[in-house]
Amino acid sequence: MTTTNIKDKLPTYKASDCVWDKISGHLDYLDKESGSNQLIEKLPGYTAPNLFDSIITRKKKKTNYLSLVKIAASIIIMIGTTLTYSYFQTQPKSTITYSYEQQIPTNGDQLFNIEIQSTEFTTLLAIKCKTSPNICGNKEYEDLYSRLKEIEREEKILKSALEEYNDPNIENHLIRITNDKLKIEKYLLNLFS
Amino acid sequence: MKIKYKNQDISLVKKCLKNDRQAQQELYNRYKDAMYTLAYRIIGSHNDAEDTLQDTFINVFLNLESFKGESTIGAWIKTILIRNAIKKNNSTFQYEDISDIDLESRFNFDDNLTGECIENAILNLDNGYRTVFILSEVEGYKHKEIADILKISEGTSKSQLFHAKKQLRKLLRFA
Repeated sequence: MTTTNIKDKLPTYKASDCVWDKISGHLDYLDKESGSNQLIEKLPGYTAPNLFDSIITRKKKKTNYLSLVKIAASIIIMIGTTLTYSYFQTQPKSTITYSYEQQIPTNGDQLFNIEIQSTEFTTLLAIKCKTSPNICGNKEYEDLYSRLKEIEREEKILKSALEEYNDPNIENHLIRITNDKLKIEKYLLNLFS
Repeated sequence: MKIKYKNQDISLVKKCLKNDRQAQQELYNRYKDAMYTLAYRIIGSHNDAEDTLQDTFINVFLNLESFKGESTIGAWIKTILIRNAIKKNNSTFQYEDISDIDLESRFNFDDNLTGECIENAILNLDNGYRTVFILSEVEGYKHKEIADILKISEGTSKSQLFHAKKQLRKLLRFA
Protein backbone atom coordinates (compact mmCIF):
# COMPACT_ATOMS: atom_id res chain seq x y z
CA MET A 1 0.00 0.00 0.00
CA THR A 2 1.36 3.39 -0.90
CA THR A 3 1.16 6.48 1.21
CA THR A 4 -1.70 7.89 -0.81
CA ASN A 5 -3.85 4.94 0.21
CA ILE A 6 -3.19 5.27 3.93
CA LYS A 7 -5.42 8.31 4.26
CA ASP A 8 -8.25 6.51 2.46
CA LYS A 9 -7.93 3.47 4.69
CA LEU A 10 -7.81 5.25 8.04
CA PRO A 11 -11.19 5.80 9.72
CA THR A 12 -12.69 9.29 9.68
CA TYR A 13 -14.77 10.98 12.36
CA LYS A 14 -17.50 13.54 12.69
CA ALA A 15 -17.33 16.39 15.17
CA SER A 16 -20.24 16.45 17.61
CA ASP A 17 -22.92 19.15 17.19
CA CYS A 18 -22.22 20.76 20.55
CA VAL A 19 -18.84 22.08 19.33
CA TRP A 20 -20.48 24.70 17.10
CA ASP A 21 -22.78 25.72 19.98
CA LYS A 22 -19.71 26.36 22.16
CA ILE A 23 -17.93 28.33 19.41
CA SER A 24 -21.01 30.43 18.68
CA GLY A 25 -21.63 31.01 22.41
CA HIS A 26 -18.07 32.23 22.86
CA LEU A 27 -18.33 34.58 19.86
CA ASP A 28 -21.68 35.94 21.15
CA TYR A 29 -20.10 36.60 24.57
CA LEU A 30 -17.19 38.46 22.95
CA ASP A 31 -19.66 40.55 20.89
CA LYS A 32 -21.57 41.49 24.05
CA GLU A 33 -18.35 42.37 25.91
CA SER A 34 -17.22 44.67 23.15
CA GLY A 35 -20.71 46.24 23.10
CA SER A 36 -20.73 47.03 26.83
CA ASN A 37 -17.17 48.38 26.67
CA GLN A 38 -18.23 50.73 23.88
CA LEU A 39 -21.21 51.84 25.99
CA ILE A 40 -19.01 52.61 28.99
CA GLU A 41 -16.72 54.66 26.73
CA LYS A 42 -19.73 56.68 25.50
CA LEU A 43 -20.99 57.46 29.03
CA PRO A 44 -20.07 60.93 30.18
CA GLY A 45 -17.19 61.12 32.54
CA TYR A 46 -17.15 63.67 35.32
CA THR A 47 -14.93 65.09 37.94
CA ALA A 48 -16.22 65.76 41.40
CA PRO A 49 -16.96 69.44 42.01
CA ASN A 50 -14.35 71.23 44.04
CA LEU A 51 -16.77 72.27 46.79
CA PHE A 52 -15.22 70.38 49.65
CA ASP A 53 -12.74 73.10 50.61
CA SER A 54 -15.42 75.76 50.97
CA ILE A 55 -17.70 73.44 52.94
CA ILE A 56 -14.90 72.32 55.20
CA THR A 57 -13.74 75.91 55.75
CA ARG A 58 -17.32 76.95 56.57
CA LYS A 59 -17.59 74.24 59.16
CA LYS A 60 -14.12 75.06 60.44
CA LYS A 61 -13.28 71.47 60.53
CA LYS A 62 -10.62 69.50 58.75
CA THR A 63 -12.28 66.45 57.43
CA ASN A 64 -10.40 63.70 55.90
CA TYR A 65 -12.18 62.87 52.64
CA LEU A 66 -11.24 59.27 52.93
CA SER A 67 -12.57 59.12 56.49
CA LEU A 68 -15.92 60.47 55.23
CA VAL A 69 -16.12 57.68 52.72
CA LYS A 70 -15.22 55.12 55.37
CA ILE A 71 -17.44 56.61 58.12
CA ALA A 72 -20.49 57.17 55.88
CA ALA A 73 -21.65 53.53 56.11
CA SER A 74 -25.16 54.70 56.88
CA ILE A 75 -26.96 57.94 57.80
CA ILE A 76 -29.91 57.47 60.15
CA ILE A 77 -32.66 60.01 59.83
CA MET A 78 -35.65 60.11 62.09
CA ILE A 79 -38.88 61.49 60.63
CA GLY A 80 -41.40 62.92 62.97
CA THR A 81 -44.00 65.57 62.37
CA THR A 82 -46.40 67.50 64.58
CA LEU A 83 -48.89 69.87 63.08
CA THR A 84 -51.33 71.87 65.04
CA TYR A 85 -53.73 74.31 63.63
CA SER A 86 -55.76 76.85 65.21
CA TYR A 87 -58.13 79.06 63.31
CA PHE A 88 -58.68 81.50 66.03
CA GLN A 89 -55.46 81.35 68.10
CA THR A 90 -51.86 81.95 67.43
CA GLN A 91 -50.26 78.66 67.58
CA PRO A 92 -46.86 78.26 69.06
CA LYS A 93 -44.18 77.97 66.49
CA SER A 94 -43.75 74.35 65.53
CA THR A 95 -40.71 72.93 64.11
CA ILE A 96 -40.94 70.27 61.55
CA THR A 97 -38.00 68.03 61.44
CA TYR A 98 -37.21 65.53 58.83
CA SER A 99 -34.68 62.91 58.81
CA TYR A 100 -33.44 60.87 55.96
CA GLU A 101 -31.96 57.41 56.05
CA GLN A 102 -29.62 56.20 53.37
CA GLN A 103 -27.71 53.00 52.98
CA ILE A 104 -24.53 53.09 50.94
CA PRO A 105 -24.94 50.45 48.22
CA THR A 106 -22.26 47.81 48.02
CA ASN A 107 -23.73 45.57 45.37
CA GLY A 108 -26.02 45.63 42.37
CA ASP A 109 -29.13 44.49 44.27
CA GLN A 110 -29.04 47.58 46.47
CA LEU A 111 -28.84 49.92 43.49
CA PHE A 112 -32.37 49.41 42.39
CA ASN A 113 -33.92 51.55 45.10
CA ILE A 114 -31.97 54.58 43.76
CA GLU A 115 -34.95 56.22 42.07
CA ILE A 116 -37.17 55.95 45.16
CA GLN A 117 -34.43 57.47 47.34
CA SER A 118 -33.79 60.30 44.81
CA THR A 119 -37.48 61.24 44.69
CA GLU A 120 -37.75 61.23 48.49
CA PHE A 121 -34.66 63.39 48.83
CA THR A 122 -35.88 65.93 46.28
CA THR A 123 -39.18 66.15 48.23
CA LEU A 124 -37.25 66.64 51.47
CA LEU A 125 -35.21 69.47 49.92
CA ALA A 126 -38.37 71.17 48.66
CA ILE A 127 -39.79 71.12 52.21
CA LYS A 128 -36.52 72.46 53.66
CA CYS A 129 -36.41 75.28 51.09
CA LYS A 130 -39.91 76.42 52.12
CA THR A 131 -38.73 76.86 55.69
CA SER A 132 -35.27 78.23 54.78
CA PRO A 133 -35.58 79.96 51.42
CA ASN A 134 -32.42 82.05 51.92
CA ILE A 135 -30.26 78.93 51.95
CA CYS A 136 -31.82 77.61 48.77
CA GLY A 137 -31.23 80.94 47.07
CA ASN A 138 -27.49 80.93 47.49
CA LYS A 139 -24.92 79.87 44.90
CA GLU A 140 -23.45 77.06 46.94
CA TYR A 141 -26.80 75.34 47.27
CA GLU A 142 -27.58 75.85 43.57
CA ASP A 143 -24.22 74.39 42.47
CA LEU A 144 -24.62 71.36 44.71
CA TYR A 145 -28.20 70.85 43.61
CA SER A 146 -27.40 71.00 39.88
CA ARG A 147 -24.50 68.58 40.41
CA LEU A 148 -26.88 66.25 42.23
CA LYS A 149 -29.31 66.29 39.31
CA GLU A 150 -26.49 65.57 36.85
CA ILE A 151 -25.43 62.53 38.85
CA GLU A 152 -29.03 61.31 39.06
CA ARG A 153 -29.26 61.43 35.26
CA GLU A 154 -26.01 59.46 34.93
CA GLU A 155 -27.28 56.96 37.49
CA LYS A 156 -30.36 56.32 35.37
CA ILE A 157 -28.26 55.64 32.26
CA LEU A 158 -25.93 53.29 34.11
CA LYS A 159 -28.82 51.50 35.79
CA SER A 160 -30.45 50.79 32.46
CA ALA A 161 -27.11 49.61 31.02
CA LEU A 162 -26.64 47.34 34.06
CA GLU A 163 -30.12 45.82 33.55
CA GLU A 164 -29.26 45.09 29.91
CA TYR A 165 -25.69 43.86 30.18
CA ASN A 166 -25.29 42.82 33.83
CA ASP A 167 -21.63 43.85 33.57
CA PRO A 168 -19.61 44.03 36.83
CA ASN A 169 -17.68 47.08 35.47
CA ILE A 170 -20.94 48.98 35.04
CA GLU A 171 -22.08 47.91 38.52
CA ASN A 172 -18.84 49.18 40.10
CA HIS A 173 -19.11 52.49 38.23
CA LEU A 174 -22.71 52.85 39.37
CA ILE A 175 -21.81 52.12 43.01
CA ARG A 176 -19.04 54.75 42.85
CA ILE A 177 -21.22 57.55 41.50
CA THR A 178 -24.07 56.63 43.86
CA ASN A 179 -21.63 56.97 46.78
CA ASP A 180 -20.63 60.41 45.48
CA LYS A 181 -24.28 61.37 45.15
CA LEU A 182 -24.90 60.43 48.77
CA LYS A 183 -22.02 62.66 49.85
CA ILE A 184 -23.52 65.62 47.98
CA GLU A 185 -26.91 64.93 49.57
CA LYS A 186 -25.26 64.96 52.98
CA TYR A 187 -23.59 68.32 52.25
CA LEU A 188 -26.90 69.74 51.06
CA LEU A 189 -28.59 68.63 54.28
CA ASN A 190 -25.76 70.12 56.33
CA LEU A 191 -26.44 73.54 54.77
CA PHE A 192 -29.75 73.62 56.67
CA SER A 193 -28.33 72.66 60.05
CA MET B 1 -13.53 24.55 -11.03
CA LYS B 2 -10.60 25.52 -8.76
CA ILE B 3 -11.07 29.22 -9.54
CA LYS B 4 -14.82 28.97 -8.91
CA TYR B 5 -14.22 27.33 -5.54
CA LYS B 6 -11.68 29.99 -4.61
CA ASN B 7 -14.20 32.73 -5.43
CA GLN B 8 -16.80 31.07 -3.20
CA ASP B 9 -14.18 30.93 -0.45
CA ILE B 10 -13.47 34.65 -0.80
CA SER B 11 -17.15 35.56 -0.61
CA LEU B 12 -17.62 33.35 2.45
CA VAL B 13 -14.54 34.79 4.15
CA LYS B 14 -15.80 38.34 3.50
CA LYS B 15 -19.11 37.52 5.18
CA CYS B 16 -17.28 35.93 8.11
CA LEU B 17 -15.23 39.10 8.50
CA LYS B 18 -18.51 41.00 8.90
CA ASN B 19 -19.31 38.67 11.80
CA ASP B 20 -22.13 36.99 9.84
CA ARG B 21 -22.85 34.06 12.15
CA GLN B 22 -24.48 32.01 9.36
CA ALA B 23 -21.42 32.40 7.12
CA GLN B 24 -19.17 31.46 10.04
CA GLN B 25 -21.22 28.32 10.64
CA GLU B 26 -21.02 27.47 6.95
CA LEU B 27 -17.24 27.79 7.00
CA TYR B 28 -17.11 25.68 10.14
CA ASN B 29 -19.38 22.97 8.66
CA ARG B 30 -17.27 22.82 5.53
CA TYR B 31 -14.10 21.89 7.41
CA LYS B 32 -15.16 20.57 10.80
CA ASP B 33 -15.03 16.81 10.11
CA ALA B 34 -11.70 16.85 8.28
CA MET B 35 -10.17 19.06 10.99
CA TYR B 36 -11.65 16.98 13.79
CA THR B 37 -10.29 13.77 12.25
CA LEU B 38 -6.83 15.31 11.87
CA ALA B 39 -6.89 16.59 15.45
CA TYR B 40 -7.86 13.15 16.72
CA ARG B 41 -5.09 11.47 14.74
CA ILE B 42 -2.50 13.84 16.22
CA ILE B 43 -3.82 13.88 19.79
CA GLY B 44 -5.41 10.46 20.17
CA SER B 45 -8.30 11.62 22.37
CA HIS B 46 -11.80 12.53 21.18
CA ASN B 47 -12.43 15.00 24.04
CA ASP B 48 -9.15 16.81 23.44
CA ALA B 49 -9.74 16.76 19.68
CA GLU B 50 -13.11 18.48 20.23
CA ASP B 51 -11.52 21.12 22.47
CA THR B 52 -8.83 21.68 19.84
CA LEU B 53 -11.45 22.02 17.11
CA GLN B 54 -13.35 24.56 19.20
CA ASP B 55 -10.21 26.59 20.03
CA THR B 56 -9.12 26.47 16.39
CA PHE B 57 -12.30 27.91 14.97
CA ILE B 58 -12.48 30.59 17.65
CA ASN B 59 -8.90 31.54 16.68
CA VAL B 60 -9.90 31.46 13.02
CA PHE B 61 -12.84 33.84 13.45
CA LEU B 62 -11.00 36.20 15.77
CA ASN B 63 -7.94 36.39 13.51
CA LEU B 64 -9.54 36.10 10.10
CA GLU B 65 -8.29 39.55 9.18
CA SER B 66 -4.76 38.17 9.19
CA PHE B 67 -5.60 35.62 6.45
CA LYS B 68 -3.80 37.00 3.41
CA GLY B 69 -5.07 34.51 0.80
CA GLU B 70 -1.60 33.12 0.14
CA SER B 71 -3.05 29.64 0.64
CA THR B 72 -6.60 28.35 0.60
CA ILE B 73 -8.67 29.06 3.67
CA GLY B 74 -8.73 25.30 4.41
CA ALA B 75 -4.93 25.10 4.44
CA TRP B 76 -4.79 28.14 6.74
CA ILE B 77 -7.29 26.62 9.14
CA LYS B 78 -5.36 23.33 9.08
CA THR B 79 -2.14 25.08 10.08
CA ILE B 80 -3.87 26.69 13.07
CA LEU B 81 -5.39 23.35 14.02
CA ILE B 82 -2.08 21.51 13.86
CA ARG B 83 -0.42 24.07 16.12
CA ASN B 84 -3.28 23.92 18.61
CA ALA B 85 -3.20 20.10 18.56
CA ILE B 86 0.51 20.09 19.32
CA LYS B 87 0.01 22.47 22.22
CA LYS B 88 -2.77 20.25 23.55
CA ASN B 89 -0.55 17.20 23.17
CA ASN B 90 2.57 18.81 24.65
CA SER B 91 4.43 17.28 21.75
CA THR B 92 8.17 17.66 21.72
CA PHE B 93 10.44 17.12 18.77
CA GLN B 94 14.04 16.12 19.27
CA TYR B 95 16.71 15.97 16.67
CA GLU B 96 18.79 12.78 16.42
CA ASP B 97 21.54 12.39 13.89
CA ILE B 98 20.58 9.71 11.36
CA SER B 99 22.37 11.10 8.37
CA ASP B 100 23.51 7.76 7.06
CA ILE B 101 20.03 6.26 6.84
CA ASP B 102 17.79 6.37 3.79
CA LEU B 103 15.01 8.70 4.94
CA GLU B 104 13.05 8.90 1.76
CA SER B 105 11.78 5.33 1.54
CA ARG B 106 8.00 5.04 1.75
CA PHE B 107 6.41 3.12 4.53
CA ASN B 108 4.61 0.08 3.21
CA PHE B 109 1.68 -1.27 5.13
CA ASP B 110 0.54 -4.85 4.72
CA ASP B 111 -2.65 -4.76 2.66
CA ASN B 112 -4.26 -7.23 5.06
CA LEU B 113 -4.17 -4.74 7.88
CA THR B 114 -7.43 -2.92 8.56
CA GLY B 115 -7.66 0.83 8.85
CA GLU B 116 -8.49 0.54 12.56
CA CYS B 117 -5.44 -1.60 13.15
CA ILE B 118 -3.16 0.86 11.38
CA GLU B 119 -4.75 3.74 13.29
CA ASN B 120 -4.25 1.98 16.64
CA ALA B 121 -0.59 1.49 15.83
CA ILE B 122 -0.20 5.14 14.81
CA LEU B 123 -1.93 6.28 18.01
CA ASN B 124 0.59 4.28 20.02
CA LEU B 125 3.54 6.17 18.58
CA ASP B 126 5.27 8.76 20.75
CA ASN B 127 3.59 12.17 20.41
CA GLY B 128 6.35 13.85 18.41
CA TYR B 129 6.83 10.88 16.06
CA ARG B 130 3.10 10.55 15.52
CA THR B 131 2.64 14.22 14.63
CA VAL B 132 5.37 14.18 12.00
CA PHE B 133 4.20 10.82 10.66
CA ILE B 134 0.62 12.03 10.26
CA LEU B 135 1.68 15.28 8.61
CA SER B 136 4.13 13.57 6.25
CA GLU B 137 2.68 10.16 5.43
CA VAL B 138 -1.04 10.84 5.82
CA GLU B 139 -1.48 14.53 5.06
CA GLY B 140 1.29 14.64 2.46
CA TYR B 141 3.25 17.65 3.76
CA LYS B 142 6.87 18.00 2.68
CA HIS B 143 9.55 18.23 5.38
CA LYS B 144 10.10 21.92 4.68
CA GLU B 145 6.39 22.58 5.23
CA ILE B 146 6.35 20.45 8.40
CA ALA B 147 9.38 22.35 9.68
CA ASP B 148 7.59 25.69 9.08
CA ILE B 149 4.41 24.59 10.81
CA LEU B 150 6.08 22.94 13.81
CA LYS B 151 8.88 25.50 14.07
CA ILE B 152 11.56 22.83 13.87
CA SER B 153 14.35 22.17 11.41
CA GLU B 154 13.95 20.01 8.34
CA GLY B 155 16.53 17.66 9.80
CA THR B 156 14.46 17.20 12.95
CA SER B 157 11.36 16.54 10.87
CA LYS B 158 13.20 13.86 8.89
CA SER B 159 14.66 12.19 11.97
CA GLN B 160 11.28 12.18 13.72
CA LEU B 161 9.73 10.49 10.69
CA PHE B 162 12.51 7.90 10.57
CA HIS B 163 11.91 6.98 14.20
CA ALA B 164 8.16 6.97 13.68
CA LYS B 165 8.47 4.42 10.90
CA LYS B 166 10.85 2.30 12.95
CA GLN B 167 8.45 2.28 15.91
CA LEU B 168 5.48 1.60 13.67
CA ARG B 169 7.14 -1.44 12.11
CA LYS B 170 7.61 -2.89 15.59
CA LEU B 171 4.03 -2.12 16.60
CA LEU B 172 2.57 -3.65 13.44
CA ARG B 173 4.68 -6.75 13.79
CA PHE B 174 2.56 -7.59 16.81
CA ALA B 175 -0.69 -6.47 15.21
